Parts: sequence; C-alpha cells; structure tokens
Amino acid sequence: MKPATSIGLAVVAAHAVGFVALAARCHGTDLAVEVAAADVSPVLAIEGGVPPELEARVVETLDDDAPPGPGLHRKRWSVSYRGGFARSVGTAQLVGPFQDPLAEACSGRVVVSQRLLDDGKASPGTIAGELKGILTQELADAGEFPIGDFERVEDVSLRWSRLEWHPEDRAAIGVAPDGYVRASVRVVFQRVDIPLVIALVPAPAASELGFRIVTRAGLAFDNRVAQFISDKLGGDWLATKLARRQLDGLLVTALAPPPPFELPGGEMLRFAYCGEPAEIIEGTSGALPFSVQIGTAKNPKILPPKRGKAPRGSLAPNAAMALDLDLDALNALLYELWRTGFLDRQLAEAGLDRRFNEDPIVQEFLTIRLSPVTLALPPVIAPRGGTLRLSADARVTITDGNASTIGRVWGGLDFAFAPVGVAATNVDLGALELSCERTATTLVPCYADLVDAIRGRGADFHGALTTVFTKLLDDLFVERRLGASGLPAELVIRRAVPRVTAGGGNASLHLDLEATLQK
Amino acid sequence: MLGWAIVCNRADVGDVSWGSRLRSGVLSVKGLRVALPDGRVLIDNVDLAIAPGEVIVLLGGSGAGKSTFARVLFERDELDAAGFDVVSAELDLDREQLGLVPQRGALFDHLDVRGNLELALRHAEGDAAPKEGEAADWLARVGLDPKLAEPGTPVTGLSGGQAQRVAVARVLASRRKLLFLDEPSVGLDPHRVRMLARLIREQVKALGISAIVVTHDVALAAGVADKLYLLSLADRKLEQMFADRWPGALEDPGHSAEERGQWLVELEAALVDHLEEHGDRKPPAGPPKPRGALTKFARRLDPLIAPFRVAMLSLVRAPKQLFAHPKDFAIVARRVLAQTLLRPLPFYLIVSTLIGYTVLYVISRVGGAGVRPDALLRQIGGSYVVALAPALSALLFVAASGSATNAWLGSMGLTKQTLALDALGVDRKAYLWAPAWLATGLAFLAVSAIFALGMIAGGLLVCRSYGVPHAWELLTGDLFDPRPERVAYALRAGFLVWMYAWGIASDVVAKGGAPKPEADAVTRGMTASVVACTLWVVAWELFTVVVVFGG
Repeated sequence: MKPATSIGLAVVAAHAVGFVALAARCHGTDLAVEVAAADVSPVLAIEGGVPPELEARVVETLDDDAPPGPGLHRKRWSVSYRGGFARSVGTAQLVGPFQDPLAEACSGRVVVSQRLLDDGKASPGTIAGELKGILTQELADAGEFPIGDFERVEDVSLRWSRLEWHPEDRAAIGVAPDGYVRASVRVVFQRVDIPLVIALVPAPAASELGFRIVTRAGLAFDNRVAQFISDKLGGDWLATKLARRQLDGLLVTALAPPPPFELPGGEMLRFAYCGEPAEIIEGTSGALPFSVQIGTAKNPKILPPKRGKAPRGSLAPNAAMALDLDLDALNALLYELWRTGFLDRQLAEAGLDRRFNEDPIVQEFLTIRLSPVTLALPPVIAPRGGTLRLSADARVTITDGNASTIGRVWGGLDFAFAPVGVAATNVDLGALELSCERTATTLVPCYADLVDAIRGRGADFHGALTTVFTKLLDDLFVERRLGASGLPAELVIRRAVPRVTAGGGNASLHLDLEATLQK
Repeated sequence: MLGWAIVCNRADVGDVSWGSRLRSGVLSVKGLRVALPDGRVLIDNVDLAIAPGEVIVLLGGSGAGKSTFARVLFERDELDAAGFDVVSAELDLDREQLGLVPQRGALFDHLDVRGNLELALRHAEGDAAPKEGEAADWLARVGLDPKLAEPGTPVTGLSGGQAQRVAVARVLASRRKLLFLDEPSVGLDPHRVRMLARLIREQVKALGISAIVVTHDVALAAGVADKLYLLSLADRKLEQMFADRWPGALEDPGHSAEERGQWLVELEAALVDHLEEHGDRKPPAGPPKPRGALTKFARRLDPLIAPFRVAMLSLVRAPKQLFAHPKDFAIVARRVLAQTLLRPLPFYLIVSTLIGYTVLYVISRVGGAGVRPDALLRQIGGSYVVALAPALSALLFVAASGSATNAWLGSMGLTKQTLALDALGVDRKAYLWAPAWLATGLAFLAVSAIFALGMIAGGLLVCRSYGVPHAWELLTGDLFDPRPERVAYALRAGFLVWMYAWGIASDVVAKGGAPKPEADAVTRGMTASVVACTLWVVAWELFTVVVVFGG
C-alpha cells in the first residue's frame, strides 16, 4: 500500500475517532444554574451561578418585571435561541414582610348599601321592610291608656347616618364618631301617633359586633294632658317593646363578616371582627372591617405576605352589599387553604397528573408521566397592572422511562375584571414554567418545548379557566343564606360581581353582591 | 533523470545504473520485454537506441506492440496496474526530455489553441511565463495561421491536420529533445500526411531534436525515417528494415519522386508480406507473472482505497499548484466549478425546494385531524434540514456534479489528454487532480449550503401557508443557533458535509482519473463512483447516528 493511501486511510480513521470525541464534548452547554436561595426570606435573596460559557447570553429576570415587595417571587435565568426558543430555569421565594397569626390585620370589610337598609319605601327584602313587619307584629296587641290600641306602623325608614347630618340626634346619642343607623317610625295608636327615632350606634367588641341603641320618641297630642301622659310613658317603653333584638340582629347579620367556611377534613376558614370601627357614609353605606384568621404551618417561617391596607372599591349603584378583600385577605385565605393541605387535596382530586398520564395522546406520543402536583409554597396573589396574578410554586415528579426527576412548576393565573356593572371575568394562564432538579440545588431546563407548546396554547385555556373561576365565585356566594337563629329573615345573596381596585402596589378584590332579605 | 523512477522498476533491471547520464544518444533500450498479465509476450528482448537529430520509425501490424512500447515510456504505472510485466536490462532515457504527440493530437479541449501552447510553454524549462506572441510563433513554425492563437479559438474547431500540427507545435514548445509521435497521420489525407512528414523533418533539423514515429502509414514512415524498424509479429523482436540500403527520409531534399515511389512500393510490400505471413499469430505464451494473494487482493482493493491516496496527493499538491501555477489551477478549478456547481444549480434549487416543501408539508399533516400543523412545524423547526440536507445533497451531488467531473476526467484519459499532459511534463496530479479535487470539494460545500437554503425555502412556503410567524428564524435556528440538545445534530450535519465534501471529491477524481482504455471505462467509472460515494454516505450516516443517538 502506498504511503499516501495509508495516510489517507489514517486520516479517515482519525476523522471517525475525532467525531466520536467531538460528539462526546460538543453537546451544547445546558443552562445548569446552581441556586442559592431559601424558600422564605424577609427580603428577596436568590442567587444563582450559571455556566461560564453562557454567562454572556444568560438574562436574569424577576417575575416578568413584577413590582418588588412582599409576595411570591421567582428569579429566572434564560437563554434565548434563534427561532423564538428559550431555555430557562427559575426558583421561587416567598418574600416578606409576613402577616402575624397573633395580630391579624383588618384586611377585609363587609359593606351594606343604603338600598339594602331601606330603599325609601321600606319594601320587602330590605331591612326597613322587615323592620316594619316586625314592628307591626310586635305591637299587634299593644295598647295603653290613654293612647288606645295599636293600629299600624307608618313612615318606617332606616338610614346610614352621621351626626353631622342629624344635629337633632346629638343630644340623645351623644357620641357616634363612626356614624350610626337611624331608624325612624311613626306608630299609630287609636288616639295618638308616636314618632320614634332609634339610633343604633355600632360598638364592635373584640369578638363580635354590637350596637348601642338609643331611642328618642315623641307623642303628639297637641294638648297638655296628653303631653303629660307622653312624658309618663316615655320612648323607652316603646323601644323596649319594639323588637330591639330583631332590629339589632338584622343589622348584625347584614354587617357580619363572612361565616366560617368548613373545609373537607374539618379545617375552617375563619373571619373575625378585627376591632376597627365601622365606616358609615351618610345615606350611602355602612361597612365593617374584618380579618382572616390564620394558623401556623409546619415550617413556621412560611406565612402569607403582608402588603397592608389596599385601596378599596366603592359600592356599585345597584349592589345591595359588597365584600372588599385586600390582597392580604386573599393571600391569607390561600395560605390557609395551602397550610391545611386543602389545595393539594383539591389538586389531587382534580387529577391533573392522572388526566395527563391517561390522556390518549400523551400515552401514544409522550414518554413522560407525572406524579401528583404538590404546592411547595402557598400561592400568592399580587397586582399586575389592572389585573391580579395568582402565582404558585409546585413540585412534580416527572418519570421518563427509567429516569425520574423532580420538576419545579411555576404557574400563574391572571385575573382580569370588567368595569363596574359588567359581570365579566377573564382568567388566563399567565405563566407556566418548568425547571428540573439535577440536584437539590442545581436546576436545569427540561421538556422546554413541551411546556412551551402548552404555554403557547394559553389562549385555549381561557374559556375553561374563566368558567372555573366564575363557578367558584358562584359556589362561594350565590344563593348563600346568612342569618342567625331567632331572626325572622335571612340574607340571601343572588349574584356576585368581582372587580379589582389597584393602586400603590397593592390591590383589593371588590365583590358587589346582589342580596335581599327573605323570611 | 526523473523519468527512470517512473518508467522502470529497479528490481526488474539487474545491475543497470539508474539515474546516470545517458551513455549514448537520447534513448537507449536494451532487452525490453513486455508480457501481458496472462504471460503472453508482446515485446521480447528489444534493443533500441536513438542518436540526437535522428528520426526512427516503428512499423508493425495491429497488436504488434507499438502502442505498448509507447505505454512503456509514458504509462508505466498504468501498465503495472493492469498487470503487465515490464522488464528491461537497460532503459536509458531522460524522461524530462521526452515529448509525445498522441493519436489525433489529444489537444486539451478545456483550453483554447493558445491555452494548449501556453500550457506547454509554462511548463517548459524554468516555468517562465510565455511571452506575448510566443504561441503564435510556434503556430507559424508548424505552418498554421498565427491568428489561431487568438484567445477563444476552440481546439474543437480545428481540422484533423490542424489539430495534429498544433499538437506538434505544443510538444515542440515544451522544449522536448525526443518526440514520440503515436500514429500522427491517422485521419489525414495523403497531402497532409506528406505535409506532416516534411514538418517533422524540418523541426527535427531546426531544433536538433530526435523523434520516434509509430505508424502504420507507409508514406509517413518513408517520408520521415532515418531508420525503419519493424516490431515483428513473428518473434516479437525489433528488426531494422533495409538497414544497409535505406536512403534516409524521403521527404528530405535530394530524393526524387521515382525514388520515393520505388521505396514506398518496396516498403509496403515488405510490410504486407510480413503481415500476411504473421498477421494472425498470437503472442507467444509465457509463464504468467507470479503474483501473491496479497498482490491480487491489493489490486482488487485498489479502486476502493485509491480515493484516499488521491485525497492525500491532492492535499499535498494543491497549495503548491495554486501558488506555482495559479492560472492553471484557476482554469481547471473554474471548469470543475462550472460542471459541479453552476450548470446543475437550477437542478439543486428546484429539487431541494421541492424536498423541503414536501417533507415539511408531510410532517405538518402527520398529526391528522385535531392536531395543529403550526405546532408540529414549530417542534420540527429546522431539524429536517439538519438531518436530511447532508445526505440528500451528497447523493444528488454524486449523481449529477460528481458524474460530470468524473466523465470529464475520464474523457481526458480516454482521448489521451492526460497522457499528453504527462508528455508535456505537466504533473497531472497537480494540474488536474488537485484543483479538481479542491473545486469539487468546495462545490459540494456550496451545494450543500444551497440545498439547505432550498429546503428552508420549501419549508417557508409551508410555514407561510399555515401563518407560522418568524418562520425564517424558526427554520434556521437549528443551523445557526441550535438549542443545547440539538447542538449534536448540527455538529453531525457539519461533520457529514465535511466528510462528504472531501470523500466525494476524492472518489470522483480517483475514478475519473483512473486509466480509460475504452469509452465504457468512463461510464463504468461514473457508476462505480456513484455506488462508492453512496456507500460512503451511508456508512457515515450510520456511524454518526450511532455515535450521536446511541450515546
């Protein structure tokens, strides 16, 4: 064999060997990020080391530029490739300050409109209407000499009032800095009409709402004899007689925080008076703040984030009641649902993993299978422009053949609410990302194209997500009957319309409720 | 004394001192014996010597070994490769002084008339660039119109006589001291035969050179010969004819028409008598040249491994040729690029676009009802180009471009143009192989890129029909900026293109440059190259698949 031939064959062999070596080395640099971050931190503190080869290409972002502050934050390391492809990994951290289970803040309020109190005609379904009936029933057998037997109740009216507007009540009421409910009626007896004004001044105690009741009655006989009698009888007689308990109870029912919500498994979501004064606006509404009670998780450091007071929406003109839930309230609720395992159970019941694994298309085309999804941290809602985003950090074990890896799923749902009066809520898949744990602290991209394909179909999920959320609101509020034993009527909620009030990096969810009193 | 290493094999010649100065004349052959692979003897114990300024003529019947004698001088490697047994006691020749005028001239048809002459001039002593008008002077010297030296005059437009004269002018321009004219009068009318004879005599005298003329043509032989030799069919030896009374070249002045006529008749009669008596005699049998199993295996293996030899030889010679003879390099490379790239370019564009469209369209529909085609297209991206373009472009390139170059190189061998190159002292490996190899390899690189672009263009049409946004970026992402998990595929594609480029180029040049004794050998070479290159492609596809996907 000639030397050139031998050299040529050697060159071919060298190429083959070289390719084997090259293929073993040149497989691209994965975005493997060494993460140093605790699950919970008072301030955002996520550090990550990227491979040197990718340092120039890696872009670090936080929550899609979400505003800093308390909440669930995620740092993402991304590398973009031509064609619109990106590989990214990320890790989440729950950032404080946090709510204190021992000092729950007033993060919600119940608002009762003047319309529910009294529509001006004391119509049935209003508290005034109910009051009229109660008074008539209570006074049916009433009669005193010399006023004669009870005949009827007239001119019943209830009004959210403030003393500035009613100086005539000042002498009787004394002090009512937060306003009061002014009930006025005319009780007609055979021989006399007795105009009666009852002031119910909110006096919330540590654990319940109470009212201080002050009455001011006047009997108009137009003669001195009758006046004498009137003075003798006094308004207290009537006040005692006129169903104090019922009137108080009706107001308490209307202004009470949402009732405890029992979760499967016996856990309860509890709301409580939080000690802040009622907020009464003359002739418009009365509101009473409340708090969400929270417990302690296994990891006591994990608590719902605390944003503080949020701007709240005003009552819609046609709404009977409203609920204002600050983000703190919402996050406290989510925290409780997470802490009690309710969310994980719900996720398990929803069977996301089962649905995925048993999907015929998945079974036919994909090699990966999923374990049930568990939430590593409580989901958190944060403002995002005029919408709210619910973010969640979950874990799932992904099995691919004989290999399995722990995936960190980052999901986000965006809630957008239509303006006042339009019952339209839009829920979209705002984020869906997956990182895999090569080790407990080394995150790598995985199944990026698959996740990208799912995320790319986010619009397809819009209808389903919106339907689920709307149904959830309905399940929570619609046809819910609120009342207490001994009361002649219950408060029935017919419809709930949500909207968001945002500002100053905070937001609240405002629910206008259509409600009436029913016997 | 470069020629000795080519012409002779040291082991065959006993005590002869090779590389020594010529002891007498310009050619001295003693005891030359040439046997066919089966042992039959074509030439036996031939002695021949030529003195400076002498013209000898070798006559003989068909199959007498005239052309074999020429091949001994010019194509020794091919004879060895074909299994001939060539032995000589002495073969004293300065190979660099030996020039050839092949049958029908064998003008280089990739050059014009001027190019043929200038190639000889460039490769003459000193490698000096031809002077302006030098080519025209050489044409005038052989009685041709100097205007034929104007650029662009194709050799295919010349008559047989003109071509033969240009061939003589070319070999004269190469400053060779010994001319070997192989059947120079084939196709010439009697008038032109005599003109040719006079031309040879004039130039021999004017330049002081010697000449060996191999011919059947009695008129030419008698016209130019100082000595006449007959390669005898009786005993396969060389016999001088009319040794004691030959009057010398009859076209020289001083010979009458009657004298010429008498000698023509006598010479023809002698030749015919010889042929009538021995014309049907087959070469005497002899013992076949002993060859071991390893030698036989090597001979069978040679077509397979020759490309690797070509690759290395071309790789070594290409830089030297590029810098030493850039014009020659450019001429051959341009021709090859035209054959391999420019002419079939529409073919590649159409086929690649069609394939790209078809592949991506089929993929887009493979999901069936309910599956979004654009989602599938996004998943596929440019991977179909990375996966398919190297192999498809290689196979098509072999069939179209490779065959074109293969055929061109083969036809140069078939028409003795390669032999003419050798005879001009032009290293065919440097002049032909190196630029052809490099140009073919580069052409494949270009074709593979064009093919990939065509496939992308086809893909763009599919993407456009589905409204896929940023389709260009999507389809080129796997090529220009692959995701980490696809880097290996891009690497594989690049490696395959590289391997196919030089592998195909090597095989095409090796098969095309192999000896072409007949036209069928050209087509055999083309077919063999397509098969070999296809195997090359398949082998590397499988190998890289195992390495990339199996690991």
